[in-house]
Amino acid sequence: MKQSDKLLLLGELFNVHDDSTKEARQKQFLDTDVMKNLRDFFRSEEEKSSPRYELLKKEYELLTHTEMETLKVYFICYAHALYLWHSVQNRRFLNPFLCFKNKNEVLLSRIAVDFDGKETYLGDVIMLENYSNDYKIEMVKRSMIQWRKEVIKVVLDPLQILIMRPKNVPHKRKIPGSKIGYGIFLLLMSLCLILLFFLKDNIIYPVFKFDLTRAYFAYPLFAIYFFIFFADFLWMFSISRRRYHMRKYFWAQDVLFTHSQDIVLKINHTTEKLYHYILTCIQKKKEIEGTCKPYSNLDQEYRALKYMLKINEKDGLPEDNMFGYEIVLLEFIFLLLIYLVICYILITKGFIA
Amino acid sequence: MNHKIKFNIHIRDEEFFSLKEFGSKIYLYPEESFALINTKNFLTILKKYDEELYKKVEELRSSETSKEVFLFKIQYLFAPVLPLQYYGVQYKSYEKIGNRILNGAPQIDIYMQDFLRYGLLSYYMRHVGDDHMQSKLYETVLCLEHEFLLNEARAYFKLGFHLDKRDEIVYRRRGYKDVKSFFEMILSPTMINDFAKDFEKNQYLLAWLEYKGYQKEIREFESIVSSVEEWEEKK
Repeated sequence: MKQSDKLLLLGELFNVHDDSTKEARQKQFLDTDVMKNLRDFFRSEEEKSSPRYELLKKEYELLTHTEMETLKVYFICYAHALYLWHSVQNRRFLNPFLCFKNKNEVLLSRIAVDFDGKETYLGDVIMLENYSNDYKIEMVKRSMIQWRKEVIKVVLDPLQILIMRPKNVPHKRKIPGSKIGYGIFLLLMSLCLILLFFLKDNIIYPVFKFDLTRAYFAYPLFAIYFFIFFADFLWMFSISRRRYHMRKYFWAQDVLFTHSQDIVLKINHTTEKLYHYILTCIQKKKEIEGTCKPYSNLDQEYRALKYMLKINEKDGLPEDNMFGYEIVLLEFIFLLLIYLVICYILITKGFIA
Repeated sequence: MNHKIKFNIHIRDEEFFSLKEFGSKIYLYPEESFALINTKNFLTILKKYDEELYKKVEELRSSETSKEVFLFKIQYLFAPVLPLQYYGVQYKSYEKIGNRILNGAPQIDIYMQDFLRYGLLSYYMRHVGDDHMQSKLYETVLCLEHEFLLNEARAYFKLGFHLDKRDEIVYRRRGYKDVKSFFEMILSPTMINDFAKDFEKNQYLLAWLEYKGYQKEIREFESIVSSVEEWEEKK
């Protein structure tokens, strides 16, 4: 940090501002080496779907959109960008609590920690000769704190946002009234058409016999059967999809909201469990065994969280967008028209008195 | 005390006929005085003259590793009623110390720093009873001695401001009392680089701002700067 920048920052804290505008500051910020490096990194394909990558990317995106109203904001963002770049460079540092996809494969002993500024595997930390156990524990503790912080950022912070802002998501397990009314209408229509089989000589029978002289009105009726069947199918499909999303939604709600306290306990318990295990290994000079599986146990919560965040972003369950009210209304008008045609035919041909 | 023993001490062109007289001039002749006090001859005579005083001197000799501190303290053993004096300079009041510190700013006088580094000022205040008479100032000095361990330059200039009770910062022979007008002056394009190059190193400005009660702003400034620099180092 340049000395003149420091003086400008100090001056700003005493309400003496420099001449640059927030746009100029923002441009300057985006043009810094560290932001350029971050931009290049996030454009690459590496580690696209790990929670850690997503967390860092989100923070980077937040930085790019921050308005640099003051020099203070500028330097806070700059420090954060430097921290992000440091984190990104140490991408080999896996978080044992967040290895969801490959938790069965990642060995705990191959998890790296920052030991005196160097990447050192946990397995190697135990074997280091020139350090006391207390010092090793201190180093591991630092990484543990960092890992825990990341878990909180990945799981608890977004959860808190969701709890505080549960907008546009249903609170009750119900199918909307419009869909139920539409279903009843379809049921009645289907029953009416089934009844037609029992009227006089079963009026659509000629269709099946390909008796074209008698079937001039039966073909449209056949088409109506088909359309009613198709509408029934659409309705069922819509309901089942809704139920599927409702089920998924309420599963996510159960996982995240009903048992939110359990998540905190789980995080604390897992952190303690891992810490005590490593502590024992260091003190007894015992080899670290096993994979990250017992410690990466928040995958269900993470999946639920991603789903809920997606819903929250889209302002509702995804199915609602596919089967919106406009489509339901169009289907209704279409079926009503068909119903009117049926009635007209039945009345003019004397099937109904 | 053996009154039969008469002292006759020669240092350069001066002659002292009592320990009190010698003690009052130690600050003018630190090198010679230190050499003399540590001679076997002087200590033997001192022991015969006043055994209790001799024990105190021996205790001081064994406990103090710094020559300056040893001489500062021993002068008050030989001549208990003395003004504050150290390394060739006599200070009639505490304000004079503050005045000297601020007049030299932003340069630091290494001997003046010893008042905080070795706790000489607080020692003197205890010696003359100002720890009770001027308890608020004494507390401030103790705090600054502690702060000196963390930030030497800032504690030094803050001592200057506290002792001198001067509310203004002097830059290029002009005094500024108002923080905003001072910043407007130093942040002008012609001044900024000149002032910026050393302001953090000498801590004069930051000491002044803290003295004026802007601790919160300084903490905020330092926290931002340290986090930027910490990550810059790691980069």
